[in-house]
Amino acid sequence: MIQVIRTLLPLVLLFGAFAFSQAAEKGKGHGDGHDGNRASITHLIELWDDKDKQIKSTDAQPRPLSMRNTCGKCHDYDTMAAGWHFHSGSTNVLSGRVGEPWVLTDNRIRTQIPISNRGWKGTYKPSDVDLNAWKFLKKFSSHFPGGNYGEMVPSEDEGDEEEVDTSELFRWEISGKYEINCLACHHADRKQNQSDAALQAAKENYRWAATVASGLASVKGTASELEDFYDPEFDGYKIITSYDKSRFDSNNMVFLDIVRKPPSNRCYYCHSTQDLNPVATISSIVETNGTATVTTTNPHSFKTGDEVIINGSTGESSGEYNTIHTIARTGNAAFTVSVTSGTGVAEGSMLVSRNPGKDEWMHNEDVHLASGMSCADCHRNGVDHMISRGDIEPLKNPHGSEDYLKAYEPKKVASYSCQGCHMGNPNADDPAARMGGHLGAPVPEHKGIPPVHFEKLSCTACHSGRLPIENTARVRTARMHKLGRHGPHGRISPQLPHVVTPVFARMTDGKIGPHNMIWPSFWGAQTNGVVKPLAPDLVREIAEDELGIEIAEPERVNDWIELTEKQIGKVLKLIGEYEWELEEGEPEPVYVAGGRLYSLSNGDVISTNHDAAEPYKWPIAHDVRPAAQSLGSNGRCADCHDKNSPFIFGQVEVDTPIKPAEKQTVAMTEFGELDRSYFQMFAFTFLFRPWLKVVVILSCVLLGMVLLLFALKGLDVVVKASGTKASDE
Amino acid sequence: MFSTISWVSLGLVLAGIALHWFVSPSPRLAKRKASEASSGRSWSGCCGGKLSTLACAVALGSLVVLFVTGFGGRLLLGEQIHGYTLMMHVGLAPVFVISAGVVVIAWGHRCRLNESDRRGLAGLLCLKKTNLADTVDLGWKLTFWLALTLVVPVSLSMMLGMFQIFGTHGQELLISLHQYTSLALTLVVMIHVHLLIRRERK
Repeated sequence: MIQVIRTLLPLVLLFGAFAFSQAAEKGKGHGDGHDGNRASITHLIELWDDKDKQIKSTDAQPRPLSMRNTCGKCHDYDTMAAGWHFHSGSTNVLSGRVGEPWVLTDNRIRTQIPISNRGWKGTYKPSDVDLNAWKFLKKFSSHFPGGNYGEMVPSEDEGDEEEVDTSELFRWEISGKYEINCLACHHADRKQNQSDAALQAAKENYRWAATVASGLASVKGTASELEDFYDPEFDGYKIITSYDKSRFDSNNMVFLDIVRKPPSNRCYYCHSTQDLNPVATISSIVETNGTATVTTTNPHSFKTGDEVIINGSTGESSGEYNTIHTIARTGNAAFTVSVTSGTGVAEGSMLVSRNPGKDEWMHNEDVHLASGMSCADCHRNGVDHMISRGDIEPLKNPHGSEDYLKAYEPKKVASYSCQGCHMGNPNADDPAARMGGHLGAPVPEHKGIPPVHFEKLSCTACHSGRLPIENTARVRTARMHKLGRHGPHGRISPQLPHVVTPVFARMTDGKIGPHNMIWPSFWGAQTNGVVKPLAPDLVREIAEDELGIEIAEPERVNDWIELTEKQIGKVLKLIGEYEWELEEGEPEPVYVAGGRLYSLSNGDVISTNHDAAEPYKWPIAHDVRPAAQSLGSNGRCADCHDKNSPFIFGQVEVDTPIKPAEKQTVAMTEFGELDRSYFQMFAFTFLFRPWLKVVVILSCVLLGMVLLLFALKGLDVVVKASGTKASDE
Repeated sequence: MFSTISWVSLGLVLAGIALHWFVSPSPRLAKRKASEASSGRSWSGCCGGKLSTLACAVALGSLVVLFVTGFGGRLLLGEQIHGYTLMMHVGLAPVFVISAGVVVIAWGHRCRLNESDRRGLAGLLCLKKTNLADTVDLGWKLTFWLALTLVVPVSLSMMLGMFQIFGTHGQELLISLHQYTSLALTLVVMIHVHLLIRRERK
């Protein structure tokens, strides 16, 4: 008997271990999807930290919440981490339609570089500018969903040991990983405060960011102030997490108000856009209580009593408010103003916005949200978190990226594009999706609009973004300009990069649509015609004096610290003298700004066109305007077909630190790849369109009457002939 | 589909015209001329008063340009009308419509069906054997009226599209209507001109 037990026991133990592991594996993801019951699931759950230890109210030194170990108990964290929203920092990154990039700005070295690891044309990978995961987080973690770079902790064994910064390894250990913050989207509790997450991220408290933002706990201590060799066991706990004990029940479980569909408020933190009003230029210097002449093509945008931001105020960075009183209008393009408070303004300063922050109450939300929808009604996803972007249309592949389409299941996702929702997805399996009219979306009739418009223009061309005016305006976005931070870290809101909008340009599918756009500016190196940016830190090191990095308060014009060609020449020379450690030989130093590439030729600075200098633009679809405010609605053909139409003939601002006070523009037709003279002529013909209608209709009426007359005469003969024949018979 | 139909119909009409040149007997024309001379009725084909002649010429000329601009790209390159071609097409359209109006007023009376024409038409409709003299003028007269009748849908189909009446589906229907009625108009005018030229030659 004992022999039997001895033989069987190992087998039993082995089987038990196997069964247990299977059970554990089975538990993973069992909370994903649902059994058909539409009620939200009540999340009264245990909290687990990054050591996979349960957090209890009685813990003396509790650690912060870990999403991987808490949410991951029921949800497939790794699958979600591979979704579009999170996965861009490593291999097998999907590309697809170009989108809003991260922008690395450094005003002191006159740099703004679009960054993305998705291989979008015009962007540069973080590694191109010496941004590893740690540095990436330092720059961009204020508006960051977690995961991705937040979990790319290098190991000492990785690759060449020399490339791994040991100091960074210590910092990672102290700060912890910035895991996917599930609560940032799915926590419906109004206590959820992503500004707090941004503040924690600014302190390098990545491990604590999600916990603090959720309102579950407060944190004292700053990881960035701790030394590399900090160890809480020896140095004492310098970062203290204090949970709200009232949130824990008697079983140490916590209720979290989790929803499947995130409220729009959650999306807004990272995906808000602020409109800045049109620009005017100050033509002369004015002191406080002095007067200046302001030239603008939009004088009627300003009125007496307007408060404005004037960038380039003497000796101070942007953000100064000045009260302006209009005194007199001198023609259509100018008016005289006085500055009665704040600091004086320099010649060439730019009026950037009227009553910024104070006129937001006038701004209308996207019409979809205003009508009661939420972002997630269209931007849907499954467990995989491949959030649909609205760019995959029913009828064709707009990107040519097969991997992207494979990841997105076009048959399903296309139902949530503009066309799919409003007019139906003919390829959908669901008959309701084939019909269109999702969630009550009106089926557009587009009365009076020839169908050729729908071949040439995207839906967004007429329905989305700002209404075009003569010159492009500017916007700020939450991610680029770190909007939404309330607290000590939100005192300064960057003005750079300047994002111009709307730029009507051709998209990958050949249609014209509105874009946001930035003009990249960076110091770079050109090898065999290929330009790569230099890391800003390197440029600072090389050309500290020439770029005036040590100047405490440099003068700013239009948010830029002006750069002259002479300075460019000096810096390029210094970069050229730098000892490059490259196998291919020394690259040619260049500077890119305002659509031009600057290089040295026999000691002189020359500027040329180059692909690397092309502005980076990405299509936009929000805010969608109501139908009545769409271009061309209600018979307004002249919205576009007019010789002054900004849609075709507008001017796109060129943003550059070189002569930033000068108004520099490029014609909108360049971006739409349109023949300017043809469209001018075509617009001219529209003057005669009403006459055309009258003439043709009158002619047709006349023709019709004559035809009717002869037809009636013929009928008369037939009737008489029939009558004669009948009487003969 | 439309391109195919256009090519086939144009080919058939041109082939028919060519065949008619070689096959149709000429004595019929000589007989008709004699009867005209005896009736004292002067018939000089397209050449009436100066205004009528001008209207004819303008109508025909503009129709040729409209045909080339409208069908050229479609049949030869498979692309829809666009660009400067479209501007020319739209610019000439009112010219054509106005001249067509003048033509119908100037020529309507002359092109009305007389007694013999009506007899010939009735005979053809009833599939009876007809007197050749009764049908000699029927062709160009009927094609005259048919062409002018087609001018109305050709014009209105585009005009109505410029008002906020029809949505996308309606606009597509109007474009189809315009395409097919334009094709029909072109074919009918070709036949009409052919018949007139044959009359003028003898």
